[in-house]
Amino acid sequence: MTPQQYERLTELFHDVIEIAPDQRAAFLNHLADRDAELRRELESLLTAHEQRAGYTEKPPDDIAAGMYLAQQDNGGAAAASLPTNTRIDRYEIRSLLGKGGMGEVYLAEDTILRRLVALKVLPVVATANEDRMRRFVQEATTAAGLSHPHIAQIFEVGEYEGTHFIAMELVDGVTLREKIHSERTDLRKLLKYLQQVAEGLAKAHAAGIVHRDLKPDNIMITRDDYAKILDFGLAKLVEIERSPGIGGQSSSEVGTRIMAQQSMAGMVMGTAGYMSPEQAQGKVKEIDQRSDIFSFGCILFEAATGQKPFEGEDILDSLHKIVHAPTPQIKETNASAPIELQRIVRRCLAKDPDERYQTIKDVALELKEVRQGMGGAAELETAGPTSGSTETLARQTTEQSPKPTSSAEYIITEIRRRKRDVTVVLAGLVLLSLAGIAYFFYFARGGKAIDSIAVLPFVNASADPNTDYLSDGISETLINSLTQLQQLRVVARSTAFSYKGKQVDPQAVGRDLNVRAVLMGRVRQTGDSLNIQVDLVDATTGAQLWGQEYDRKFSDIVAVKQDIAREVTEKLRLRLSGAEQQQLARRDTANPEAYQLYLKGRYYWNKRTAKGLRTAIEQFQQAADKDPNYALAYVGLADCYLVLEQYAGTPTSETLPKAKAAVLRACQIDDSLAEAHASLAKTYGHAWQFEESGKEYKRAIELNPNYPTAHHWYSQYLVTMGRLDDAIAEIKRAQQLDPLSPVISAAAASTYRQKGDLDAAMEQCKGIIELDPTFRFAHACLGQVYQKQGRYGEAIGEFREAVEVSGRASENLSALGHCYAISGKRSEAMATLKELEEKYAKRESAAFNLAAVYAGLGEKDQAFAWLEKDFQARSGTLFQITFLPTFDTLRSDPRYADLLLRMGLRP
Amino acid sequence: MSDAHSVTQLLEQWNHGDREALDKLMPLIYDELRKIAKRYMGQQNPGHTLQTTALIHEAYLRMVKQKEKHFQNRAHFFGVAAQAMRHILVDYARTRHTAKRGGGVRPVSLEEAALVTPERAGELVAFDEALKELEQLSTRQSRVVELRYFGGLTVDETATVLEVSPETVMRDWTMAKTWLHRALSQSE
Repeated sequence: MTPQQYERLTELFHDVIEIAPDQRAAFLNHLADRDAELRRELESLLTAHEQRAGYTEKPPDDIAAGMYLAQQDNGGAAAASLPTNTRIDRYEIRSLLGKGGMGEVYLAEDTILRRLVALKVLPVVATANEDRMRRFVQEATTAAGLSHPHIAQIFEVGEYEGTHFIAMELVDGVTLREKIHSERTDLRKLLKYLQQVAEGLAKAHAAGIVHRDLKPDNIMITRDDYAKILDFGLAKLVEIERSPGIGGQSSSEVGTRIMAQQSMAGMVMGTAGYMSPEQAQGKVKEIDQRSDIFSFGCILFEAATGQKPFEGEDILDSLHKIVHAPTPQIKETNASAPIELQRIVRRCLAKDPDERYQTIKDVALELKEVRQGMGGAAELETAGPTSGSTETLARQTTEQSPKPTSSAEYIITEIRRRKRDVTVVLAGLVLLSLAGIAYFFYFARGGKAIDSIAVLPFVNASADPNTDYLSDGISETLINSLTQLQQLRVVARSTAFSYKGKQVDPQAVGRDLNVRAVLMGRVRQTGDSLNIQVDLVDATTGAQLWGQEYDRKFSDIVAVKQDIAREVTEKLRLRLSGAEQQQLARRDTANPEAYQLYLKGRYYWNKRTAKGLRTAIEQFQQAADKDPNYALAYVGLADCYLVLEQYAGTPTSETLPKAKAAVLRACQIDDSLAEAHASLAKTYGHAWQFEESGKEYKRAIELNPNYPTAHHWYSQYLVTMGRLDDAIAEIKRAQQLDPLSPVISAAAASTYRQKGDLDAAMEQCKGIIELDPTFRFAHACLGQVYQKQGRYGEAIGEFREAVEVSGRASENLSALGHCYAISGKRSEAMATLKELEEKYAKRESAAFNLAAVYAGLGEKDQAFAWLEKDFQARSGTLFQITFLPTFDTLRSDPRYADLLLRMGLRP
Repeated sequence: MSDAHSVTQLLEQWNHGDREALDKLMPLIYDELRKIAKRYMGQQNPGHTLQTTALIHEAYLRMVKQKEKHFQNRAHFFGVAAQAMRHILVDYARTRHTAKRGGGVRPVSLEEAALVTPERAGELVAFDEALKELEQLSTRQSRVVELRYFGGLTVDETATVLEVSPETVMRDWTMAKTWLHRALSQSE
């Protein structure tokens, strides 16, 4: 193969793995015409991909056996009978995976083919009967010939020094049982799995193999969300024979026989819950493919209701029910399941095999139809790449049509039918808007997929401006959900929000922010109801790609975050690992009220005013009260307390303990949350624990290198540490991630100024002013630059503006006073000093703000006296003196160096 | 004798565009890694497996002055070290492997023997060969594997070293892994 061919192969490979397995054949067929060789290569690569040996995942020395956890029945923490490194034929045992109904399953390594396998070691007793063993080997060998994406492959059946074993494909995932019961996967997805199982079964049946022991415990769902059936043919080992000479048996006799046989074989008796009537009655000769169909029906029922259809108090009872009891109704337990499902289940569970489906293939087809009927999302999945186009879905009206013509309308009609779980419906709403986007990512014709998007703040079209937090909140939710997707670059919130309240031209936005698509919307709340309009626009052409309008009850506004995230990632065909999914769950909340409060909290926090911050604190606190495991709410709380010092002058002694408590709680809930660690780092900084602070910043950045705030705050930390070059690198990174954030730009300006690069500082200031001339940072920033340049008149003008806009915040007053002082306006300086003193007395200012003015007046003794006050109070923001220009004149004084040393900083 | 100054200097030179600086780094890093590996082995129980990334980390700490911890420099150091590590390990593995087969070429010291356990030896040799094959088809993909597998670099660090986007690294990694797995399954 040439490198060029290999490159083509690589491209095709990536295309193919994006497609669901059942569609791949079509894709490959398409290829066959052109290049048979390439197709062969692709197919073998696909097989390799599915086998996925973790072999090359880790460095040579620690290929951990624990990586693969095919979780089969784990009968407690029993010790494995075979220790590590035991050799069974060419397999070397690595670790015990679990105990199944038929022996232990080990993680082993095939030393010849050099791959990891699951090795099932059969108990001696089971294999004692030669006849049975022979039949089993025969069947297993046939099963070994089965190759299908939804069947766990059997590699070898053999014997080694008296021990019989089966080497099988190692499956990395969880059982269907877990999906149904522990993870509470939604029905649509479960049906997808079951359809796959049906397809796998079809293949086996076509080869003449009956599973005989189909149950949720031996169906695995891989990490990539494919079903795999395990243990084909094994059931032959434990066949229950009809005693010769007697026709028919009562179920109780069968039951006793089962138990006796099993316990003799030393096996753990599983439930009889999935046996077909013919199996239950020991009519071995009558067991065929249709018995599997019965078992399948039981599983289907369980997926829909969470319960087995024939469950008795003990085995005998269960068996009796299987043979005699009528099929229960799904709707008794689950009213919202599709009606067609009941029909399918009933036919699978017919007592007489002749009345069941005769082939599982028919069941698979019917399941597919049921899934399609369940909503638009399912449609997207079965649609292959050939059906894509950029047709825009016409804007929907809210009038109800007799029959749903679009997925949006389907959901609307569904709302009116369902009484409960309306939030799930709302998840559908946001899901749809995102699914619509997904549709265009993957199926858009003519050009590259959309790989970058800006979500602009939705317009608040309500009469009440106080509901800004709603429209802002929705945009933010969408930004947050989309940001999780690796293949998509999403513009940061503060950058996008700079467009708030402005007339937007999507194409201009696209150019400015360098994105391919823009998502915009409008929210109108009237009384009890909410109307949301969403538009997705191609930023290059200005064409509307997709639009949708929704009408909801106001109380339904808050989406179920976890479901959204999971559904979206599924739609966009991204695979989050189990750990990542859990992580998403932890960071968000399932409680709608808590979420709403959180949104409000962030909204007020972003204002960065004393009043706003106090309101924000209330919101976050309430959010945390509603959901004590809502990590982000605690981070929000901590952030408020941390900046409260700066913007409202509240003393450290009051804010720091609260900040600390909140952020530690956040870390406790989710230690992998970058935001929590960044806030923790800042907290340490305020507590003068500079070493720990640095560590935590690094950790935060490690956890999420794309979190701009971490880089921003880290940069300030580095300035404090005297590492200016590193600080500049970090602030640059923060700006890269969030180009239009005024707070970050202000930090950048200050850092450049510190370094002496006034031109760069000036440029930053100009940028901020362009964005929002009323933002006080802009003026404070500019003032500092003018001051450095000696243009005191202009500087004073800017500082006064900053003071006005900020509501006379003490840090701005300080800068003004200092400037008055150094420009000779003594009486004005004294006036600001007086104002600051009053604020200090009211606990609205830190002491160093006064020290700054004294420094400007040349009264060093006073300056240091005030600094000492802050030192004694262990003020959390005192470290700022290391970079605030108002203290430049003090730096040469030995008392400055002394102060720094006492704080634990290097002068 | 590796001088912390000269390594830092070389990294800085690289940072400023001197591509050859990295080549000069190789022998220095190689030596240092071998030294560290030997020291490790003296301490550990034989058969106790060694973390190659730990070795590289230690080499980095020793060779680069504390203050100069630029993100890119670190990534490039690790990039070179990954290559060095590969040479070292495969070297040992080959010796071990041939020794195992009975064709003992040179006597293996006890310490060297412990670095690569017998089970691993054959594997590593095969892996190295497969990787060389991959190199013929796609230099970049093989480099991704080398960096991640022998150097333990993260996706972002790999992206920095190779000067491509992290997404490209992930794609390369997925394909390379699959290809290698297939190649190794098929080999004897």
